[in-house]
Amino acid sequence: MGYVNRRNRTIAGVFLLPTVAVLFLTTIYPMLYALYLSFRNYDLAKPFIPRIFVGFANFQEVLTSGPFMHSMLITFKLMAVTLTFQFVIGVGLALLVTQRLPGMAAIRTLLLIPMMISPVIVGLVWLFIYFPELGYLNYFISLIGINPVPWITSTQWALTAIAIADIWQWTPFVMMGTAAALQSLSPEPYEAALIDGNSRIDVFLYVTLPQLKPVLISLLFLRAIDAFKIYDIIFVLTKGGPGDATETIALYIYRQSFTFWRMGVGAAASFVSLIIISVLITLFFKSMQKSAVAR
Amino acid sequence: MASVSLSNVVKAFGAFKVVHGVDLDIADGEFVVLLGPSGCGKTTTLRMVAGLEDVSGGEICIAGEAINDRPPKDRKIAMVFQNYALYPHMTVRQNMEFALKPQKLSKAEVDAKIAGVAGMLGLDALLQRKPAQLSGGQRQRVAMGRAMVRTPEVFLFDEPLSNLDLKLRTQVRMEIAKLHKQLGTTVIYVTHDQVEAMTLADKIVIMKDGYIEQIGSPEEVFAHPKNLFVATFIGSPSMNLFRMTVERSEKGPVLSSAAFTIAAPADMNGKVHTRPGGDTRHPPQRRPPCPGR
Ligand SMILES: Nc1ncnc2c1ncn2[C@@H]1O[C@H](COP(=O)(O)OP(=O)(O)OP(=O)(O)O)[C@@H](O)[C@H]1O
Ligand SMILES: [Mg+2]
Repeated sequence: MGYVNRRNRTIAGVFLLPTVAVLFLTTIYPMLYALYLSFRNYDLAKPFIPRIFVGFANFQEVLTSGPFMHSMLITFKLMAVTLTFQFVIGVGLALLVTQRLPGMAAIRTLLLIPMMISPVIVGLVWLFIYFPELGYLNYFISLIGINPVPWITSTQWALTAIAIADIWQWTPFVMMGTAAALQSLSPEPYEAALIDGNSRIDVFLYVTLPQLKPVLISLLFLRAIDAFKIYDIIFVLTKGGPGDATETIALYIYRQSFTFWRMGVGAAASFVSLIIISVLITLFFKSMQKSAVAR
Repeated sequence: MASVSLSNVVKAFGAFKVVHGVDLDIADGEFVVLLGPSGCGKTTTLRMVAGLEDVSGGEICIAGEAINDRPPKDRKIAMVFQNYALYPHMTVRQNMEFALKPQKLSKAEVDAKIAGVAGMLGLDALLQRKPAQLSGGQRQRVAMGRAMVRTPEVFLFDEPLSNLDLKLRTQVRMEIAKLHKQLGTTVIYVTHDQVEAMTLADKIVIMKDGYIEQIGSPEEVFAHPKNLFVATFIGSPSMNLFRMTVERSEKGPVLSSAAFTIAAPADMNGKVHTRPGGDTRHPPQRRPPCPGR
């Protein structure tokens, strides 16, 4: 690039400096500091004990501890359930709202509302719904003669309750992405299929779905990464309880760091989860490239 | 193979009428071209025959049966679209297989049909490719192949050559003519290119603003246009038009302009009258817009 000479590069560097500084202070420095902590024995409850180097002891503890493995299991269980429902319902709704029917634009906007609400507020809304004695849900099911269900106070129901709230919040995201992709498909192949007499189900399976695949994969990984980090809704609804029934990785890290004040262990757990997310992202880009080549 | 007839077919989008009572009879095996300027309702008419648009009034018959209320798949038609409408993620073979799927044929029958069409159109080497890996002309042939494997009774083409360059257009045009001779299927072909119309058609239907202006063989519409629109629309360079004055002479009425004078056509004899001080021009003949059956 001949026209970007040395002088211009210096100026460009000067202009970039504030951004780089902010990025460094808010992202890179805390990350490096967490990496440093993950190799140290740092207990905030005992501030006078020196933070000695302990090697991989924190990592070893995290990877061999029952609670961490349990939180992984909870995280992936929740992820599997919520993503399945979000994609089945989201794609279904997308097919519905892209029909040329009166009122569809308004319905589409209404359906987006859950996504626009902050997760903490969503948690609070569902707290009102699930509340053991006073909640709306138990009131309505009492009307049809069913006994009240301890939605968020029993180990049996708590994870389901959280899954429902998360599905409610994030299905619109899948719907919106899918609807946009549906509308970008050209209509003529559908008219050709109509003339040839292909059944609706065949058209969906062999014409629509394959063309949506790249978009669905992108949405899937975006949702997977988000679901891996799920925190706000759970914190408001159950704080990981009852017991450890809804303790996901993010809540495990929070509990280690800010309930037990074991900063070193918390930092090590964050790095383990960072590695898992990185693997997910790498898989994502691999599959993206594959579907790009397949086109 | 089948005949097609449209009687007083009307299409309106809301209150906006775009096809005003079209009457058209197409014989079995005939190659009919709908020709007209942009926006005259050619595509709309074709899509009504295909069943992709509802008919607002009148009746469409294929093989003597009224098909207004039949879904497209029950009309025994196949359509080739202007932008080919191939399934982008399927190979050429899969495109044809998917078109055949509703017919529930055996694997051997499907393979035989595809092999037959591929041989006829020279697609053998392309069967494993996807549309994105084909040139425009190849895609066009695949689109025709996909329509042909279904062995329809009527082919509908909507400007199938308009995305091709001039040379290729000439070549594919000849191929289409050859295929029609070979297969003998009824064809309705929409275009706004009169060279295509003149070279392909058994019968040309000239449309303007949703009305049919003239129906006739290429020679007829070229040599004997029924009205001024057809006269100026067909032919390149287009027909010369002169404004003439009708005058009396010893030999009967004559038409004269500043440059020359000719004898008036025989059928004008006795029909020319002068009104003192009035206009003596013979008005250009124009058919009423919507001739009854
Ligand atoms: N879905 C629609 N809604 C409203 N008006 C329409 C619709 N489709 C077509 N029209 C109108 O109908 C008229 C005829 O359109 P049509 O597509 O049949 O023209 P055409 O003869 O095929 O023209 P071209 O040569 O440009 O393809 C045009 O005035 C067009 O604006
Ligand atoms: Mg058109």
